[in-house]
Amino acid sequence: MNRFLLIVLACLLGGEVLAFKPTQPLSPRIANYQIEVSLDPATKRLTGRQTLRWRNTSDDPITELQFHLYLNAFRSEKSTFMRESGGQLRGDYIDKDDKEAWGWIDLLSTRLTHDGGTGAAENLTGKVQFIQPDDANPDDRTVVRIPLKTPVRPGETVAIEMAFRAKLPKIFARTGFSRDYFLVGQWFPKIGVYEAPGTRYQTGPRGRWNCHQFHAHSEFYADFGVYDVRITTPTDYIVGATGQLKTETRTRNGFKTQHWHADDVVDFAWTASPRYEVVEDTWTRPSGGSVRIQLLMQPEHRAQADRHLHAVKASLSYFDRVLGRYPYPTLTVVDPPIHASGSAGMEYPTFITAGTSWGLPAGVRAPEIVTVHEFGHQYFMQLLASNEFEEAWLDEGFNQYFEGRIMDETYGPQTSQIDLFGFRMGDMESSRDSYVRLDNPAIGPSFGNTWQLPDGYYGVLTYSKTATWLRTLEGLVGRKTMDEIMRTYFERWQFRHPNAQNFIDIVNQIAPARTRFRYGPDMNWFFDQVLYGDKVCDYELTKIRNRKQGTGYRSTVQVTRRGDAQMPIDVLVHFEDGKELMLFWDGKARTHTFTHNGPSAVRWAIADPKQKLYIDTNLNNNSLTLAPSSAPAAKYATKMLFWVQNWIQWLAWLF
Amino acid sequence: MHSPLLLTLKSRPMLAILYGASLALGLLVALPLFSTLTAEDADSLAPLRMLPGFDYTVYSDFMAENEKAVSPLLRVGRWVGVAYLLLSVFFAGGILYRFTQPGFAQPGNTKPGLGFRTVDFWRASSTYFGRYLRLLGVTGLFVFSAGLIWLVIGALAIVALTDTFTERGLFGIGAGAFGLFSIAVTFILCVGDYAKVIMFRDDERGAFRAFGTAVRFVWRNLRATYGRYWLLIGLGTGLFGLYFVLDELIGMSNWFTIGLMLLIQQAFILSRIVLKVWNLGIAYNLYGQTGTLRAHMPTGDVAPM
Repeated sequence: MNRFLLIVLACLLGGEVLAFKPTQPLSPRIANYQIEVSLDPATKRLTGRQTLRWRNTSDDPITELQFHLYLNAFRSEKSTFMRESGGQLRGDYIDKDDKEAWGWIDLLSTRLTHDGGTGAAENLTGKVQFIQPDDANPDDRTVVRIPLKTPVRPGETVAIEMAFRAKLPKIFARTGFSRDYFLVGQWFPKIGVYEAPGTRYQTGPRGRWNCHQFHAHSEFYADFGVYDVRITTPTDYIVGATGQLKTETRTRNGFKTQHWHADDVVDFAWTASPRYEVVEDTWTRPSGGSVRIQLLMQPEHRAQADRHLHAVKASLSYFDRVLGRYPYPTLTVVDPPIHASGSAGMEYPTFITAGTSWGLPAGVRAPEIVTVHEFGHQYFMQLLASNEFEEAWLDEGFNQYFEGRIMDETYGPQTSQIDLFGFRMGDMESSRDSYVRLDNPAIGPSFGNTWQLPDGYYGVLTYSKTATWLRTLEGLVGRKTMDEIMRTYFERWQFRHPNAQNFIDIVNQIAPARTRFRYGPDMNWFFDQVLYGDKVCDYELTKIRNRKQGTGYRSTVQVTRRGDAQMPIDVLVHFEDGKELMLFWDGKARTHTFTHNGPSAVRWAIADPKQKLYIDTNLNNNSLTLAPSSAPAAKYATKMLFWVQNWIQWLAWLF
Repeated sequence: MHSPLLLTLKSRPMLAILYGASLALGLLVALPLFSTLTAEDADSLAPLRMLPGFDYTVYSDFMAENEKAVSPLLRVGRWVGVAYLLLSVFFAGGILYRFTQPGFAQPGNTKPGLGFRTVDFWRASSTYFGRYLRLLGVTGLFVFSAGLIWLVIGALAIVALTDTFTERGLFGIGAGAFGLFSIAVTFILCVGDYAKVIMFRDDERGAFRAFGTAVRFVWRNLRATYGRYWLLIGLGTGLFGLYFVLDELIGMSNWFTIGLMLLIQQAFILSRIVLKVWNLGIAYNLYGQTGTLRAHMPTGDVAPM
């Protein structure tokens, strides 16, 4: 077909042709799914059939396949998920006596065809075996292995056809149904990641499957691919999903089928409900291109649509400017109803769930926080597809750090979480607070398999502690260098599976040179303490002394290391004549005394004046003054007097 | 309504006693807090960041280190509340007695505090303390019962209708129940004020009987009694709003503004005391005008117990 004719046809067919133009692969596209699924809202069941085209990118002949069957986490109380979560997540509980509350997935048939679907076929139905690679819990059925008669050759692509049937659980953890609302996540048989030698921590001569059971706190690790999913629902249901809607056709009586397409993603989730109010908008990238934003709002939350949009656009702009391009044309934000709040605050590729409630004051920025956070996972988890099972801090912690940066920049550093009736709290300081206020901040490292972290400390160690030490790293190397590190990390590892060492290597490549080796030839000492270790940081400015010496003063300033973490620290000394001096201590000894001879006495001093060491568990003891002011005490004593008097007047009205 | 207000405002010594009691009890918490804050900040510069506004990190780090020093002061605040509640029961007789004094109630009399004798105030207060303490028990019983009924009804309605109503609807149910709770509780508190007047004017000693009489009286004169009660609550709420506006505008970022806000705060507290006395004055006048006087007409003498 000549070029002129192509142009004419393109003009005639307009957007439809453009929409289907072949896209340049951004990722290795190892696991590509074609799925047909239908939802029966009455029985809460899914009936599905999928063809997975999976490519063996290793040099190993692969003799078995491994798949996640996530929905089996809700099969019984004995699953690993239920045992770890105790049947509750984020404050929601599963009603164990309600048969409707449980969920499951069954594989009905499995068939593999070699050579991209054109070679020899192998019927694998009946060969599926449940395995429990993490905890040997025989009652957990969230991972299967399928032995093959004929191995998958290196470089070969196989087509695996599967038929499955699933029952969605009543939402209490991320996925399922609540009344006529459906949030369908982790719902199809999903192949694990075959880690070839050199991938992440795989150092042996042969690769291995990395396919963990569904745990209470981790679920993502998958290869990139292209998803073509045809979803059949009743016609009155509004559907949102990962990727773009391509076509919609009416099928049987009262049903419709939508075809959704997504390139270069690691997962696919969707939602359906007849109650959504759809709000659409567009974010235009400063360097060109745009992202179509679709909000699926609960009608009673419609007034908060602008809050969600503002947060989404702030996130898109921030990540685009600081980290890199959001490469997808769409983003869908789902606002779950209050009775399905267990599905709020979840991330899937190009598809996130937020969460709010009716009448929430603007000063309580819950919808903004959750929107910014979940959008951040488009980068940390989706584009930078780290292993959440083994290194949750790499996605949740990094994302928490960026949430803090975006929220603080957008809504004010001290008001980004709450700004109500004079009470104010910033996002980054909230993360720090969660960590430093632990009864024992030395409870554990951020690094480690999520299900093996100290019981009850998963959230604070992966989210809060990581965000706090990343902010500390930023303090040490400077925001500009930190951004260079993060950008390099993103550019180097997007659409791949990075691990801790990959990030540390980049830090060690960039930070020492940019800081003129102020902190040594590498930053391993830092990660050893905060990522792999459980060291606690607390420096205190303990003493200021001035002694008259001739016409001048001999002054001493003493700083004490209270914690076991050793961090380099600046000390700002302010003299009576207004002059200031910035000093530096490597922070290793228990105490350090600076001595200064000069014409003026020291008035005050601050250890770490720029709060670079944000991980310091007590920032109040970092300074000392010889001319203290009692004004703050007077302010709050006055307020206390007023409120006590008010309180007793309230009581007096009772009589 | 004007007359009781004028009479209240003219009764400066009495207001001074009431305000002084409130200030003294407040200082029981505030002064130790000042000392604690001054001592425990260990000459750090960090608290200065609390001057322009609230700083969560400074607050959180301070409380983490000093919660054991600060918490007992908050507990003192609770006991101070109980003490003032008893004091307000005690002062009620003295306040009502003040409204009975001849000359005081005469229009055109502009001499402040005319006829006020502290000794009479204390005598009246102590005379009626016992019966008003019983009345407090009766009022508390009804407040608790009526309040609880609406809170339970509201909670049950929300639980029962969770699957039927939207968030907005459930909020409406909750707000409705809370509204009814507020109406019930304020009605009983208003009745309690009239019961006090009845016990005083009619020399009624039975708290339940006085309460019953007051219920009938308030119900028959709902607009004049309960309506005015709510008017004063509205006025108090408006003053609260004004306080928050001033707090926002002035801030407390230096010694001058701290001092200025202290004056405003204390003026606000004084205004609340005036409202409380005014409310009793309204009740006293209203019952005197329309109530059925049975046995004892006030003469200015304190009825002996």
